[in-house]
Amino acid sequence: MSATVRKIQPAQPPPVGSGTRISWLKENLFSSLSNTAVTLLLGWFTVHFTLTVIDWALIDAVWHGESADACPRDRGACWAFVTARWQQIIYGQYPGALLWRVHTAFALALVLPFAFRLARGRHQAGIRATVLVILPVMAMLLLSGGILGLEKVPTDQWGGLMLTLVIASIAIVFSIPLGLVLSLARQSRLPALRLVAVGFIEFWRGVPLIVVLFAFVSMLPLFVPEGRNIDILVRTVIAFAIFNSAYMAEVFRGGLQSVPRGQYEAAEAIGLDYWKTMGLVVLPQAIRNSVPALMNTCISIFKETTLVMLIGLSDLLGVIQLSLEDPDWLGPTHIYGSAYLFAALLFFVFTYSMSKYSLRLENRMNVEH
Amino acid sequence: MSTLSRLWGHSTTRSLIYQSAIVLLVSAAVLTLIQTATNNLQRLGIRTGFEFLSDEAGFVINQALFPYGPTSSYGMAILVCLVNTLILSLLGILTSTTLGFFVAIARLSRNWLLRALASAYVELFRNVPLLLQLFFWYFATLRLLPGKRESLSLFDLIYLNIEGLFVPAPVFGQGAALIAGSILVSTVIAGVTLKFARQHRESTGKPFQHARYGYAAAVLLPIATLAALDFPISWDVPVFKRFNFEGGFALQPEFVAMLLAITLYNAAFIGEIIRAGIMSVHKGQREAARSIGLTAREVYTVVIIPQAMRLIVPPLTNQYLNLTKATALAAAIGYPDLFWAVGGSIQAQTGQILELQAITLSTYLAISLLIALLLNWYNRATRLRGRS
Repeated sequence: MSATVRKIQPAQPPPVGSGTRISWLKENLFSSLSNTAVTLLLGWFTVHFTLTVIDWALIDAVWHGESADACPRDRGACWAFVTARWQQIIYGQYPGALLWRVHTAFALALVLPFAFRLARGRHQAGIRATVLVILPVMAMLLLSGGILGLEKVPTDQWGGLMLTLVIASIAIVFSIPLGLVLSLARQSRLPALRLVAVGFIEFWRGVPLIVVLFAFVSMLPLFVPEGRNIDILVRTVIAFAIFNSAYMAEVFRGGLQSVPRGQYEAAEAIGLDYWKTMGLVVLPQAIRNSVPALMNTCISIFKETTLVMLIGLSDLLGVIQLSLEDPDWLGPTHIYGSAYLFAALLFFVFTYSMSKYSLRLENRMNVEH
Repeated sequence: MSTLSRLWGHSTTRSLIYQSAIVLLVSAAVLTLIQTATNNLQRLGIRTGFEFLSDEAGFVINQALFPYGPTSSYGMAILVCLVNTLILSLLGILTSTTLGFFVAIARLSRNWLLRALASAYVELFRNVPLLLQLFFWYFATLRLLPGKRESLSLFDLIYLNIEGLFVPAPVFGQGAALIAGSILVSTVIAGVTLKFARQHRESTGKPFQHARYGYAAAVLLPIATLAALDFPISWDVPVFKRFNFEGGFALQPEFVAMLLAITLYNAAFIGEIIRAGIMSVHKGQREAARSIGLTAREVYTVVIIPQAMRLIVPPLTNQYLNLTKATALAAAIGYPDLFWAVGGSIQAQTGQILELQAITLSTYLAISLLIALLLNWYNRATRLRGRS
């Protein structure tokens, strides 16, 4: 395509009164005829939509009730389903008298980042490592019980939001170190190691998670010696961790590749061996550069936990689906809609805050000026 | 001793030793797994091998693009369902790319309200799990549709009701092969013209004046063929007769729900990919293009888009790959795709878990590798030359 100057443009007048509210409105909403038309059309749509939603979800909604009869077809959202099934949605079938253990475990999980950041002084690394290992183990022991006089709660009673969080956090915690090792193996100078790592990573990245979960649940019994049975939750978590470690490996590979070649060469030039080059020079930079992609992967792991309902676990979505199919709640279609919207809101709160946190982390770790 | 330590000190030897250890470890692990699996299979008396593929399947698939009946074989069932997966993926890629393109434009618009609504859409749809969205469309929305008698209709051509989407189907009369052939020939003509025009431009710096004849020939040839054969393509429009729709092509509600879910979910991601690609083109490029007098449209078509494409295509391909893999979720609502066939009925009937999982995993893997291969090829073709 040829580019020719058609005519010299006359100079434009300087902007008048820029920076005021009126000028903002004019620039962003009413800059031209078509722009004004778009604004008016979308404005009407937005107002109409918002009013409809408020009417349906708040004013006309049913908040309490014991069964589908409470939510007739001509009323708005059926939040009665959520309030009636609240305990199952959050805790699954976890025994009501033992809920304090779930709460304590959640509290421990919340304490973790603070304890991690408050660690100071000579033993900082040691304290951090201890906190990182001990708190999750304590939380898991609290949930499962069976020792120290705690009553055992079998994993088939775990469910709801609690199970979703347990699966997501274990999968994240195990897939990160595994992924880091894989990414280092992929960059290794040893061809055999590189080949194994590439094969492993590309295999898992090439197949859908649901197929993998299904394969793990149905095939794992074939691959363990006779008489050994592995809990279905454990199988699921192993599948999640292995599957996502391949994605984590790619995240770290991106980070490793963003470290300039000169950094490796400089580290070797001052006589550092492989482990010191990696540990002191390359990885700190690589991991920092991986944070945004890492958080994205964490968010998708969190969303993917919903797939466990398809292999028979009762996570948040699983509990809701089961309750919806309960004869008590068989009724108008909008009960389904209300339940799914509530679940979507819960997921959104978690994933959206994770992505906002990731942005903050990115800004804080940005050392370039 | 000193020879040994000298050998150990030699980096090539050491690397060989490490690598042999790795190979040994991996093979030992694989062998143990195979051994255990063989023992278990024998103990449980499960048949092995792929002979079952020619056995009679005996179940119904409610969306089959080529002849399939309950007497067809398992192999045929798998093939029919694989085609269903591919159709869903291809259509999903088309629709989500189109929608994603508009989302990107809206996100880059000068209108604040449009921008805000587009970001709200993106944040909402990419932060909620796909499976949940699928359930929402399937169980909560499509069930609100009217029955067959009160179908929603578009110009009496397309009908939507609780039993699915009914669209006109093309019917090819005599000479359909000739038309297909003419389309193929005209594609070749267009391709050759395009390539020749580009070479001409690159070597002389001037556009190739006669290119338009090539393009005209490419467009006219199929039309001429159609006219010569007296337009042998007609449309079979669905018509409601007493109890059911007749004619046309019926799309199952499961298909509609899954297409809706993957389109809305992936369009949010694709919109962000396209937007990021366009934003990443340096501001100076836009300013330079404007200052040499290109029109607003030319700025986009000859300066921004070609540069943005290099950044858009790799993550976009990755998104297509994700979409294709995500279609496996359609099995959750009973859409007869590959995973539905292999993970459900066939596994329950034959019990040959290992073979079936091997088929599913390797099929998905093959699709993924194929897409990755295409991407590599594209990356090589569009790589910046003369810079390093």
